[in-house]
Amino acid sequence: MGVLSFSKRLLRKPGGAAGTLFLSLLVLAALLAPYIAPYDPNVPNPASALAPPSRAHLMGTDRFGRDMFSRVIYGGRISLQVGIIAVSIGAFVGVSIGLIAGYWGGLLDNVLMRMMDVMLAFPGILLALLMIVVLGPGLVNIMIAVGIAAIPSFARLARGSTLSVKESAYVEAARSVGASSLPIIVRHILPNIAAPLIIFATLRVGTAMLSAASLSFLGLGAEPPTPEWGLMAAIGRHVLRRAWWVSIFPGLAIALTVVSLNLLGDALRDILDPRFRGLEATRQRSV
Amino acid sequence: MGLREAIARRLLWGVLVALGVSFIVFLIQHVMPGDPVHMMLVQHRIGAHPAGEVYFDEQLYQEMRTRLGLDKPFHVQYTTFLSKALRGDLGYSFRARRTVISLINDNLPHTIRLAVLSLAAAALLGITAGVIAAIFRDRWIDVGVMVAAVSGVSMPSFWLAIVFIWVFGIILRWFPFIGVGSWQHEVLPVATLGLGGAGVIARLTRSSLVEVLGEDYIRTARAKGLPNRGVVFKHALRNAMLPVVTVIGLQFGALLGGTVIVETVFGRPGIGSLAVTAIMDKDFPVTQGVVLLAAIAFVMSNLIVDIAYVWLDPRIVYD
Repeated sequence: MGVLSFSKRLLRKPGGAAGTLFLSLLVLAALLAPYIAPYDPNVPNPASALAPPSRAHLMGTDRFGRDMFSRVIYGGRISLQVGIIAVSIGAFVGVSIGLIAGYWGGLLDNVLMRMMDVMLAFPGILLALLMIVVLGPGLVNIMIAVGIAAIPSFARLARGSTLSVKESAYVEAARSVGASSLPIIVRHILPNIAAPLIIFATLRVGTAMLSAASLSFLGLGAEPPTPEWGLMAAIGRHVLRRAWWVSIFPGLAIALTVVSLNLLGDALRDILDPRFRGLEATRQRSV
Repeated sequence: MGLREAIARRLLWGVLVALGVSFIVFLIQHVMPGDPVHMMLVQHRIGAHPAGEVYFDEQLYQEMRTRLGLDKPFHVQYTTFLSKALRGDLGYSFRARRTVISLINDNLPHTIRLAVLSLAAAALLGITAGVIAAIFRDRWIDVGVMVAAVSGVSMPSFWLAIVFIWVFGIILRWFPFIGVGSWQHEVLPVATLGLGGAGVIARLTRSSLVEVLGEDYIRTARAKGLPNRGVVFKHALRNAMLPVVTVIGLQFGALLGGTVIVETVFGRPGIGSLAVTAIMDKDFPVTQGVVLLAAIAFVMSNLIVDIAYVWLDPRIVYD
């Protein structure tokens, strides 16, 4: 399937089109934040504290009079960054483990996969919380923690695919002409298991953003005055009676982003179906 | 291999997982920065100078370490912890000056109530919505249900909680939203946790039922003149439930994680909020106890899923 026909099919699906559209806007807004945001996200303006949404402040202002619209736009930068980096960590480590376990099998496979099982026995948020205890709070540590929590599911998916691919004729052929293990894994197995992994990674970015925002919400991630969506929602909760907009808009931003990623993921899976039906089972809702 | 043997093997595996989890937790807490005795002394201002400058009574510090067993080598501390845990003794909280078991006993009922109600709500709502979507496949009602389901899956539970508090607690004043005490207190937390789970369950019920409805035996059932309702509910639904049961089981784990957020937002007592406080306070014994409990709960829920499988599909033979 060529790239062009692929994108055509993707955009023909309503979910795929909506997801792509919103995510493109989000990425664009994140990149162009300094040009789009009407105000500096961190400069307080006590005179207009807790102003409701208006022409001047589309999403109102917070306790310090900072423009919520600008803060939400800048928040997109942080959330995207956190989600992508966390998933990259999880994917890199998890796929490596899965490849090793699946390719070599035997005792190594057993030990590695049992370790993954133990990790999966933790609810994701609890695992991330424990990591935060070790690493200490902070945005960078949250990326690592959320990334580590994503390792086992990547490992499982990669191992499963590796098992089926390694028996194929081209791997056998490479082996018979004397190729050694590492080139076989990198050149022959990895490209052939990449598609489901990419879809899974797309879905995982949403989950990772959610987990990271939840940790920030609990007070373990970004620190004020960082315009992080979860943190903004947490702080806004205390003025909910007087100013609903402080908390509602950042949360809405997370929700829309994750909805878009899920719609996109679904559309991708439908197009590449039926090989990746199994993905549904590996998918779990985070908090 | 019979079912009983399969269950026994599962149980054994569960015990191994619980052991592994306990060891990892123990390990993590011993490599992390921050000396708990130091923290206790500072927090409770024991041995602190009245002027505010903290200094330590070295003897007091050593006494505390000995009393808590922290002066023993690592493996001794771990085996002591294990042998005591097997007897139901999870030690003393560093902070609350109570036994961990009594803290868990106080908090667990609230979490179990929340989790069971939420799971029931999620299953009921999710399966109903999924069946409706499958019956009206590709019609607007199907699209509507599926959009709602994706939204349910994607909503951050902390945000959903805030929206519910805002709309039903503050504007409409229908439900209280802080603490526990009456059935009204349960409505918003259960709705928060249940809605996300319902989304996952609805999606899977729909896809599974759509697949089953295309099978030959369904055509046969229709061909012999059975009414549509009978076909869907008697023949198709039961066969479509298999993957749904797995996901309901998986949801239980996600739900346990979700209670952490929901209990915090709604100011409820419970294992989730106990865990957050313990982790923030570096209260080793409580963290260990809670995580161990979570792992056991997770293993048990998986076991129940396996048994439910056999009940739903007698063709399954364990090997």
